[in-house]
Amino acid sequence: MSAARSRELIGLVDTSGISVGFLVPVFAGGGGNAPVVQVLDSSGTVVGFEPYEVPEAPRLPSPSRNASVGAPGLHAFAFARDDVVLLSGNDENDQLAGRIEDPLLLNRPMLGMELADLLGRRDMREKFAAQVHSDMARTSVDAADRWRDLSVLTTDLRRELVADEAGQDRYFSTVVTRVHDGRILLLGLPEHVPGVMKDDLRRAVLAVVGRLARLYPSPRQGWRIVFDRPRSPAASRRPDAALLVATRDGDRGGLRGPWPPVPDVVVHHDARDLFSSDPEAFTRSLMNDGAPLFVVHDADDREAAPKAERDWSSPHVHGIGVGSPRACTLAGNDDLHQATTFIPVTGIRGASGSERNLVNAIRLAIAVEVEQRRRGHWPSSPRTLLRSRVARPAGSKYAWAALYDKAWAMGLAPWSALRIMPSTNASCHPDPVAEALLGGVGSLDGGLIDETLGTMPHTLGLLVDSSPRSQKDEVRHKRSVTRLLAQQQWGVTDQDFRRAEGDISIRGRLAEFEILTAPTAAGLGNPDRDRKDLFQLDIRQVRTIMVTCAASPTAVLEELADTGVLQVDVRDLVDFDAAHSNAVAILGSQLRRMVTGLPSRTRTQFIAFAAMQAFIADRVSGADASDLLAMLEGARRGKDFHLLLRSLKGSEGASTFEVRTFNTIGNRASEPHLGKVDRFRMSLAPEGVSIVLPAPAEPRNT
Amino acid sequence: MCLVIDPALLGDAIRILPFDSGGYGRYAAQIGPLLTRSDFELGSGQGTPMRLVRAFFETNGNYFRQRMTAGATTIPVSHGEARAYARLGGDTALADDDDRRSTIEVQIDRSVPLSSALRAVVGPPSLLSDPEVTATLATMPSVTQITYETFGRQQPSAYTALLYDHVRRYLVDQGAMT
Repeated sequence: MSAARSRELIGLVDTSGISVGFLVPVFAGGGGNAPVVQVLDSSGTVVGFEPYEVPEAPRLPSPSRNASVGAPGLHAFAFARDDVVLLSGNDENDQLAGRIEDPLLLNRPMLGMELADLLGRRDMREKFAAQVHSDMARTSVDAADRWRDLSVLTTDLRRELVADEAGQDRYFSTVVTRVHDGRILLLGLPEHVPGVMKDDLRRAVLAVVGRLARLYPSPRQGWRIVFDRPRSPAASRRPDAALLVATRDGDRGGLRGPWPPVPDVVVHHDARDLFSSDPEAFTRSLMNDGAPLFVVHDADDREAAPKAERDWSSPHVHGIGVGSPRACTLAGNDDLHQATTFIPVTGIRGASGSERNLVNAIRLAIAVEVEQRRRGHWPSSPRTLLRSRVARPAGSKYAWAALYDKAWAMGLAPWSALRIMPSTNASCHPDPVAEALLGGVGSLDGGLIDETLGTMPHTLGLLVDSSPRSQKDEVRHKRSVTRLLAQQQWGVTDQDFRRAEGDISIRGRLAEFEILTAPTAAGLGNPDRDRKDLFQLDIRQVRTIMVTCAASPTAVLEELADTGVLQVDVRDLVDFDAAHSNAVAILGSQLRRMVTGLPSRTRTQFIAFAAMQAFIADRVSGADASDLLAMLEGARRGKDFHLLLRSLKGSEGASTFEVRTFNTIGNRASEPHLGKVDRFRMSLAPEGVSIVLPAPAEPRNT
Repeated sequence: MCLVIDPALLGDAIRILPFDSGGYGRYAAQIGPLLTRSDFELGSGQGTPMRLVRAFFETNGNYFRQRMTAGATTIPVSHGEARAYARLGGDTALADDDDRRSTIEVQIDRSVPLSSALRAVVGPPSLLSDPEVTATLATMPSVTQITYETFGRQQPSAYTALLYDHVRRYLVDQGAMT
């Protein structure tokens, strides 16, 4: 801001380009500097000058005038290009006021409103406003009312709120008014406006409509003031459910609340603020609307839901237990009878994104239960809700297989379940993989399910009975795996289809295998173990596959090193077709799950194992092959040196990855002491794993 | 002046990008060298912008205020484009660009007649009371006009917040600022 106290007017900028209305007075900057404009305070007094943002803007000529700090600001109003009135003092105001009924303004009443506003002529402003409204109403009453409410009433209410020193002006910048049928709607406000502020808003808006009586004739019954939030039409219906949050530790991925919990949440499935508190609406939804009550609690807390049932005398209480996969599985002697949906939570608690993920899971659990009740089903046994994302086009088969794996790994029976999917999926052709694994399992879609999954696209769910599976389920698991393999044209021989332990033999165009369906999930191995023996193993020589549904990188390597058996998940068999696949295809499927930028010791070991296959098969090309071999065999693999995968492409039986090296010590991906290779391309095809190292001249971006 | 256009036009889009494509050269610091502008082209479906808003801003209100809620660290590394966009929209540092770096761009390969596409117009009284403009708007009965006062404002930038506020009034009334 310029420190000079007085500036000479050098022109008037016509911002609208039609030489009508208010112009911008521009002053000499002094010393050859860019022109300046006045800085006015809220009372219209000049408090300084600042450079004009558009110094090259064409100007209309102006009479010789000055503006001074501390004096009233100078304004310019054009009736025409050669008819400009300057005003800064009372005399000039009088001169302009004398022209308030100039024909130009009568033909342009919006402009007349603005000038009347500047001159403080409320009567004329309202007269012009009524004329604008009347003119617009000849075309559309609705459009005229919108202009009136949004341009006049909203502006005046905000001014009133700011001017009322005794009142609250917190909402002056957000409140929006609309008027219908004797009701004044106050929109744009947060969900909870404290009572004292509502009183201030009521008082202010009544004062304003009282002053704008021409625009707002008072209804016979008086004005009714309605506080409303902007919301989609669906949100105005009765609530779908009420929700209590009652976790004990007060920090479960974003859910907080002590016991006894405060009445908390009313759920509308199209509302996004699921965990906002609204005690009044909560009570109303239970007492008046008969909404079912859901209680979120720790998975191992058996008391939360019964307590809520007693406290609220609600006949429809449903628990939502959140916890580790182990806590979400009932033991054989667990006598939990209440209706509960368990939501297993894995990963790092409180990590970024975990809150939204959990909120989505709870939302889906509620939708599933409410939708079932609407259809006359009243589930009473505990169930576990599993979800999987469809990560690529036509990827639902992988998602169903992943859900099968999750359920089986938790000790559950995937077919004692309901499939949860949007109705668009349900109406499509049946998914062959889902049919093989979950054939006969019922599905739930439509209604609230569609609404809820619409907010979390590409998600499929499986609502599984939380009871531990039986010996019969082991046999059924074996049959499911057999069906999936037969579906992919493997010649399958099951020596004893009545027993889970009986071996399966499969024969394809490229390979033959013995298939084991392990009765128990594999344990985790030790990632620090020296795997020199493992790195001599040729994956193409593997003859036995064990379907564990829990084939972590460490577990797979451990089993290979110990027994030469390849552990797999069911999802590894989804693209395992007899015509194009051998064990290398499974390795490719497992590597696909490791496409991430996060370094991990176990993943690095697994990727290094896969890369070593190329050296075993003598399928490495490029000048730095010996450097890469030294890196892969080095003792620092998985410690301060990691391998990261970036998927490039995949086709029948083949996958190609870009592999990058990552050094956790230095900033560069490749440090001299680790070798020269910072990236390479690794392809997995039935013939084996192959590696192409970049030519030395190729730039190596990190 | 600001024109609010019928969202049904999204169905005619031939290309949708999550930012002002003309400013792409200014985004290099957040996007990095491995991606190109075409990597960010979205599908042309009518619901695409809404899906983008839901994924990165959660609500229309957040998008309007350009308050991105998705953080790059919550997006899988394999989704490089999404992470880059989250970095771009989440960078609150002063830069030589503005909120156009996370404002959705819709490209349509035909002329769009305002007579059918215009839903609202926000402008100064001098222009909206101009006889030529009023005569034209009289042929569009469904168009909402919203005016703002101009006196006392000297700098062009002083109108930016005013325009945003008056457009927001219209969107609140339409129930679009949920």
